[in-house]
Amino acid sequence: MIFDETYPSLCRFLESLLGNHGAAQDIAQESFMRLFRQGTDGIPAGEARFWLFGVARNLALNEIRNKKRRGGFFDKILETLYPQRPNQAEVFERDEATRLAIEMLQTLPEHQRAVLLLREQEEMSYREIAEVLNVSQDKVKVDIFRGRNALRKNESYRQKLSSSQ
Amino acid sequence: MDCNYLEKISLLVDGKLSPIEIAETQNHLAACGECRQAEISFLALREQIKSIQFNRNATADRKVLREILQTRKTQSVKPIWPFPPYRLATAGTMLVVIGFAAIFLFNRLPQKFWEVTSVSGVPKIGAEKVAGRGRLKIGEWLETDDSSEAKIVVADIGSVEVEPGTRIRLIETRPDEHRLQLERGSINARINAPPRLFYVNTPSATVIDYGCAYSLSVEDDGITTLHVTEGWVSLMLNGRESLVPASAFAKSKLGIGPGTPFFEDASGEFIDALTRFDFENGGSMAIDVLIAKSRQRDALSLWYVLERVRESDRDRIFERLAAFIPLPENTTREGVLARNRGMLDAWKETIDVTSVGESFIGKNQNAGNSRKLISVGNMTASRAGHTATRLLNGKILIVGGMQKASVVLSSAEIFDPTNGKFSPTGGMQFARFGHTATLLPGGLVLIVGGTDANENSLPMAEVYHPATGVFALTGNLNAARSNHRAILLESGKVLITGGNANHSALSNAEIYDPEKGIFLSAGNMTAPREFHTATLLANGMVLITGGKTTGKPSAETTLSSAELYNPSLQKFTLVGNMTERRYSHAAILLTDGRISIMGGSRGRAWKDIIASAEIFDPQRKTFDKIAEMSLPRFNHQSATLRLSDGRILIAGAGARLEIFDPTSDSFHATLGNVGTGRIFSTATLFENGEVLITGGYNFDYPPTASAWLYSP
Repeated sequence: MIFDETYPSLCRFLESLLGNHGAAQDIAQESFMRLFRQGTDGIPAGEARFWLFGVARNLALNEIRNKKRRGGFFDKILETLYPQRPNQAEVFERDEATRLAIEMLQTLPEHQRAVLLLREQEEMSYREIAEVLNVSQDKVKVDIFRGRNALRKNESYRQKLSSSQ
Repeated sequence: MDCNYLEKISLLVDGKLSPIEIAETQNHLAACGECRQAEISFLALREQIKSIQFNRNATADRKVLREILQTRKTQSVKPIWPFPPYRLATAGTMLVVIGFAAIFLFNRLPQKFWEVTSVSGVPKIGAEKVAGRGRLKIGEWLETDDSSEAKIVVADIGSVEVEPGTRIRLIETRPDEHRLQLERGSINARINAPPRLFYVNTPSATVIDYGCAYSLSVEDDGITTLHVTEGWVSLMLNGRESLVPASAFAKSKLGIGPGTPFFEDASGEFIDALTRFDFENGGSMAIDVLIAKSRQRDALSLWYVLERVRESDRDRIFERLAAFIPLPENTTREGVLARNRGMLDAWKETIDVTSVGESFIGKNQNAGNSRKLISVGNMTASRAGHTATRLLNGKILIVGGMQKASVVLSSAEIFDPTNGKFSPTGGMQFARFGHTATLLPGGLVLIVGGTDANENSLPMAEVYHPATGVFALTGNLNAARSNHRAILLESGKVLITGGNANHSALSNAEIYDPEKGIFLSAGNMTAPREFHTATLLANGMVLITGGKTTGKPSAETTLSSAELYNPSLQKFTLVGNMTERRYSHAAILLTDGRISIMGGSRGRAWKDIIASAEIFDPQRKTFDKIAEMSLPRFNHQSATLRLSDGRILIAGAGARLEIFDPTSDSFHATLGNVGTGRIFSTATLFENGEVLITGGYNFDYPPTASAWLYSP
């Protein structure tokens, strides 16, 4: 069933994209609710997975934009007063390699992060990624290359990562 | 400064280079240290990104699913509220106006509802209490608490008793389909109607009636339990089906689908072992118990186990089953162990007769004179994007296709209408989907282009020889292509137009000469096109419509233009524009010489899918909009054809089949449906006017092997 096949990988995609555990699960859940609410009739067979990743990515973009908007003076004070630390359970859930890989990915612009995750984690083809992100295959090709090339040059993370594995 | 080749290295890592580019890049790698390092880095990055793991808790995930299912009809978890108040006020006023208009219109439409009678306590429809009688309309929920029960009259075909603690919803009621959703609790259904008119959706299965009486319950964890008291009932999910006869049970579980049917008098140990086998990865221990504790009457259960058990245990189940019910004529041990569909079905018929007293197939064929659509079992492989071609001997050749991303088939099979069975024939030299297959005048079949498992378009063509069952290579295309179109011209040559050559659309065309076995250039279309249509007209010309020029999937890259190919001049000329931009649509020649153009997408794949249709008149060279199809459809071209009586059958991209009637230029749904909507399925006309429908994607991603026979 679509939920069992897709929910864990959708969560992983969102967690890697946002670097944030809680928001990822909320967005994954919201994406499925939208799928089930709208019903699957309007979505051609076989496309539900791509539909879900597309919707989830758009919701994640909203989350990123809202976070930026929230990052004003007032929020900075709040952050100083109540620094957000990952809770204990979350820390245990992530091993060192995962933490570093996620931090490394956060150095990329969001669109490059999204294409790389869909390509490497989900093993989607360029054509499928283009469909999910609603961009051309040429853009997918270029973004994958630029993302890889930027990370290749990010020596500090690359070294930490290889020593953590 | 980076080396210019770095981008090629990224493509190399993704398998996106052509053989020539690979050779070039390898040469470069031998000489460039930076690129060698980059290749290693890219591959290491892949592993690092892949290795990102979060510990998932399956129980917590199931809880999320339950929450989603419970709240999916109510408000979202985190309502997103982007509108300022003044817009809300305007929207509110408009909604009120629209609401009044809707109520006014609704009252003038025939209402669709089922009569509900309260049997005990006070059941509720929505928030309203039902005292005595009530009406359950489409979309409404009926709920009984611990002390209430209700009875529903299902149109004119039967009744449903709703037990305490149950929640159901009416999804559809039409002369050709009545559908209920059972979210939790129990119902008892008694239906007296032709098969496949009454459906119940549960969280873990679709229950399909074949004229019968049964009880159905859904527990809190979504497990469906079916107990049939009369006739036959089918339990389906994800293309997996269990047909349950009278006096038998079957369960279905979320994420797994229907389990093995078993008779109510089977031993407790046998039933426990079945549960372990079906839902708990029971393995060999469960098989031991199934073999030790089965009786002859359990042959039906063993047949399902045989169909689903892993290969290493298949032998033992076979022996046990064969000891109870000998193999019928023309079936062999090897064939059954290889899960030959025809042989398995033949054995099932014998088992049905022995342990149930009637054969499902026999019963449904006899009762089936009124049935337009019957299941004919499965192909030897699941396929989508394959082709199905009627040979001169009346059999149907099914070729290639994909099973999932990166699994592409070279295999082929034959459907024999005289015995209703699929059997393998020789395989192609190259695996491919999105190719074309064209019956040549001498009876051979030309297979052209397509896409391989690495998403490369292929230049190779092959010819199938029905007498020997062999695919032999013929000359190569001048350009590799997939999603192109191939048309047999009156001259006996084949016109190949456009298509996709590794992510860019082609405008060029080629002609295949069957006598010489070569492809020659046939000039250029006025635009690059893939997923277009090409239709042979009565005057020998070919109409080309729409398609995509590739690049970003958008309206701008989707064409409305149409052109005509004149074979004697070998020239393409613009003929005008369709009323819509379309790609992945269908265009069929009518007997009166006009062309009906149906559905497709306006640009962004399924997001812009359309139901609209239009007619091209070759005399006046005009396109005129006509009534819409009942559903938006795309990628249904290979499953759309002209029936012997001149009407058009649309059998793809929707569970429900549809007919276009050229005398009224209108569409109407036809009886029965093929379970799930399929894209890239096929429909092929037999000489006797019947149609074979095969494969295609079903909803939950993997293509299906199932096949159906439609008789108009």
